[in-house]
Amino acid sequence: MSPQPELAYNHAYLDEATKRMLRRTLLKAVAIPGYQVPFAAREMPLPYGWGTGGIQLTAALIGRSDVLKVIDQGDDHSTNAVSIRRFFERTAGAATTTRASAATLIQTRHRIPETPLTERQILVYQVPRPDPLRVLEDDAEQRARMHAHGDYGRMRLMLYEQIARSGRITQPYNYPALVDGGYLMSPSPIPAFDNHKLDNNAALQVFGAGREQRIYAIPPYTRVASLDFIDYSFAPERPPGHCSRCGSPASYLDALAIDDDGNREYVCSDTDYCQRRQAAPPKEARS
Amino acid sequence: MTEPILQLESMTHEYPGGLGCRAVDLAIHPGEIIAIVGESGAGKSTLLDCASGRLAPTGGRVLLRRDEQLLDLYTISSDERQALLRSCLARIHQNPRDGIRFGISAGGNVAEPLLAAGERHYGAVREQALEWLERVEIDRARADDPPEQFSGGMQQRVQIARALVTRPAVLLADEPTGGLDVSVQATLIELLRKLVRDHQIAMVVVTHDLAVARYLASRMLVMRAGRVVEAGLTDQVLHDPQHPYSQSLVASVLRG
Repeated sequence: MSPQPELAYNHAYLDEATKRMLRRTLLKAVAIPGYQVPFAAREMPLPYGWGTGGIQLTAALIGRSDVLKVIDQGDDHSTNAVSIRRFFERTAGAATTTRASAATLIQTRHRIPETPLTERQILVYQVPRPDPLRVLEDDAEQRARMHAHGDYGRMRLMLYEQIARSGRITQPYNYPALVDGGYLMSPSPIPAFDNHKLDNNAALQVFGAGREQRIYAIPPYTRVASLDFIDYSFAPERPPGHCSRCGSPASYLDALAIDDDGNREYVCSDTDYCQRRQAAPPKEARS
Repeated sequence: MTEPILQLESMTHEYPGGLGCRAVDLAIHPGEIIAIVGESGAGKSTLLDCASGRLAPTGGRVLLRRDEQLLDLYTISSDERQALLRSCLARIHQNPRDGIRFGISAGGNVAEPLLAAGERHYGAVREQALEWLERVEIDRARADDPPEQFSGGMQQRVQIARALVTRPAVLLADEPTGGLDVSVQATLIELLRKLVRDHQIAMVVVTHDLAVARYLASRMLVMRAGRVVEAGLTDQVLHDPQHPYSQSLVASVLRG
């Protein structure tokens, strides 16, 4: 049963004019894949860095029939995820879930669910730094010019330097990717391991940066290519081995310290994926 | 006779507060070196800024030849301008800090123009970068060191390698040996001359050092207060200066 929304607030907290502004911005973002569209971000009742951009997008998108899932580092039960889920239960009367396949709207920080998404779903990312060129160039005007010219040589130079220094590309997360051969985008701090899920995804992916006041998007079935070299192709790393709980050999694993001697246990970072596998282990994991 | 590769047609740039350079005409051919001399504030650097696509002149035209076509640098789109400048023109600054990145290795600095031009093979980029470092007499073993650890002369050589790695047709050099001691200056000038000759690059070198102008350039321009007051063959200008300012300039150095 859906909880009753609190009547002191408009549906999903934001006023209708603000939500319209956000939707207009989203339409533009979808029309120009990967381009960072400026928007007038509102103050939200949570601090910057906790997902003010993502929560505004979710507020603009969530309807009466939507089912919301919120994850933080793949986890449905972290403080941030629980708070945002409750926020929309209270202000929008939203139905919520932890099951990726049952959600129509998934707000995420730092991960893409292991479960493949569908055309019926929208993935909302919380983004701290929307411009991938920010680490290279301080001048915003110059960055805008670089984007306009597709002038991404300096980003490739960053990868060149990593190979020259370490013999391989060492960018572990926030791995820059070209959207539809056009704009370079920051995938937000998801692990490089997740980058291939950005590519040709059936779901609409939208990115909100509250502090920086930027929204960008990847429309469904859009080509997203992680930057690399012909002879050093994009090959993200995953901690070796299987999840110690569900046995998955393919999911992204978190290392948990289990004692003071430095021993670690590796478990799926996607808690929903892991629990469903434990409840009904697929055949290959049982053998 | 080949066609000029770079042409300035009564190019003028006036700053809001006053003078930049006025009605400069210049045509330079492949393989030719032209020196521009004059005191500080004469408009030399403004001229280079305009000619290198960084500063739109307030009057006149800057024309660059590519594939038998003469393109006006400031009427083509900024996309075209960027592509044209990237493939045809390079610049060397007096201060290496303006021309190379100190947070990036020497090899990375030389690799960057190749990556920007769309080269996608790491091994090929790296090999070209190392070759060019060798050409400017920097040991391959230093390729991954940051330029911060290099001497001023070495930094300037990294800048030269970075400028020439894409084999530009035109090189604009602003006091390339300024701030270096005399023996380093001499080897650097010799290196620059050799590279420019070997690759048939057209070079405009701005300098206040008449010895550098004499050694490098076949023709020279003397600038004062934003105008070209004298232009001609280097030997001619240095031995028989016509304009009073050129005369005083030559006299101040060659006396004694």
